[in-house]
Amino acid sequence: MPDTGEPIITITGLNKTYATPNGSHTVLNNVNLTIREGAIHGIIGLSGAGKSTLVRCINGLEHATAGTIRVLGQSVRDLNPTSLRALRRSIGMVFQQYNLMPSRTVEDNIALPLMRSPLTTSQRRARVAELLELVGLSDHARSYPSQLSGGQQQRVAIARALANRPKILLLDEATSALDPDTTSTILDLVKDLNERLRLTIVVVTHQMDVVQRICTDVAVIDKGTIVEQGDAFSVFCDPQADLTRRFVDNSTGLNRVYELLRERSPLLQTGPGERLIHMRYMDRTVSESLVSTISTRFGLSVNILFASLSIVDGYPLGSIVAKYHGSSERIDEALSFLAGKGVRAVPLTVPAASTDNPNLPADAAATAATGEE
Amino acid sequence: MELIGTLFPHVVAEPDVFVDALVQTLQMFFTAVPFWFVLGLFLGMLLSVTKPGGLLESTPVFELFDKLINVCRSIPFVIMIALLFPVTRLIAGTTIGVDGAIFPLIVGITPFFSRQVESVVNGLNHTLTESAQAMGFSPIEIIWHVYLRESIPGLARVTTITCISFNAQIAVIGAIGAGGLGDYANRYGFERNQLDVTVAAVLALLVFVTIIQTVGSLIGRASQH
Repeated sequence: MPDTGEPIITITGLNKTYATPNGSHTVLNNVNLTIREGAIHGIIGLSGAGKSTLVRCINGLEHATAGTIRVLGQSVRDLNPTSLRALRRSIGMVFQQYNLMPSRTVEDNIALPLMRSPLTTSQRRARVAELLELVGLSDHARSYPSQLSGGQQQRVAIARALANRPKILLLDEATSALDPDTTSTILDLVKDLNERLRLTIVVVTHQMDVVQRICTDVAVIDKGTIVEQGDAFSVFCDPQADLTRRFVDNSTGLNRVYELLRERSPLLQTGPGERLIHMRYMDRTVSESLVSTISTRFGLSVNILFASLSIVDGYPLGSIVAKYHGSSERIDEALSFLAGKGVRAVPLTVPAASTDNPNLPADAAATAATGEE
Repeated sequence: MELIGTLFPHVVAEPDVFVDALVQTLQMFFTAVPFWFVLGLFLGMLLSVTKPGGLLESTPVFELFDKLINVCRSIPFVIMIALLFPVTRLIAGTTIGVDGAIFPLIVGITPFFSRQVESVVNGLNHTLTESAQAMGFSPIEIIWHVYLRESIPGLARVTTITCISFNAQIAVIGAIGAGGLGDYANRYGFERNQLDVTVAAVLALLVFVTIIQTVGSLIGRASQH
């Protein structure tokens, strides 16, 4: 369980609307969000949900229409341009497309935010060397961004964002343009920075894996509204909002099971005395061999058809679909026994007509599903 | 040397005239370039940052300079020179010779160069602005450390193009009273029907343009990463 720090970012009643020729368009609608110091706070949503706009309101790159945004004790919307720029220097930001200055070397890119700092030239050089070391790119100080791979460029962008020793780091889809292996190493770096520098990190993403891998807290945003938020483990082990469930099911592969059910696959047909049960670990401490326990204790045969395990915020989050065979009463007893052990076990029901396609990324599948409604 | 005498009899007969013409052309070029370079850089940058959605968006300023440049660019250079006569006389004290040529040359080429600069700056990735803002840069710092700095390869390219177009304008103004190679080719080559003079002027310009192009490409390549 992450230790609970003081709120470092507090957003209340945030609204953002754009005037368009066809009337006003609402991007963010009454967003309330608190981010604790030292947290890695994920903001997950589909493309166009408003998550990038939300994160840009934190450092004032976007101007909110209504609401209050308090960051590091200052009210962002009330700052004059000079104070806002000062605040921005204590917030690092990393973008999807790295946004490095192409005509500057790696070290010059990293030194760029230090332009206004009181450091002497040699102190600056030392700071840049330290940052290069931190992101593991000491050998590339004199390279130009175009000579680096995407992952390396993103490391430079992270080093640059950290140059002024910010308290907060904003990552806007920072891994969305990277391949899975590179994403993994960048996420490890981010996690490491969070621990070593006690840096508060806000991660905007549409990738469920990113949130699972590193986030301590999460807010799910849909069409400009936060539909669910809390600590990452609780939100993902018992998702309430449809969108959250879609993200979770996509990431665990459960949507594939739904699909088989809808196709009436013989795999999942139940005979007399059989029931399909979906079990989810609800507790961070589940470690007993529950399946063998219930089969011996309640005289049931439990045939596991599907199982997946994700690690969320360092804790295992399991999802199992099994066919229970036995008397109806015994199955009910087994289910309440499991509930007492911190496992949510419910008969498997297929969500209403949805076209979730496991071959598509979460984003596309969920968009397709939304289109159906 | 004898070969040159055979190929360019009229040039060799009066070498001073050729050399003077060359010097005048170079004088016009090197005197005017710094002016239109700075002015064009300023105006191009101004257009780019004041345009709708720009860093220092200002519709009145943008519209004013945008229209002004369009008007100037729609006037053919020969007519522009004539139109500017009173102002040129006021500024330079004369409308002929190298001195009288500098002002109209600057007015003639600046709008073209401004547009070129504007397109280079507009072509920079918009996301660079955003990341500079996120770093806490002020608009002036962004213009200086991001826009200008990152435009160098593009500016090298458009400056080369403009210098070469500028040579054409120098020849035009030369032929109507400023002197230089344009005047030389016109008066000696065309009016006296001395084709070798025209060829010599062309060759001199060819060498000059080649040098400009080479220098421009070198700067462009050195600044492009």
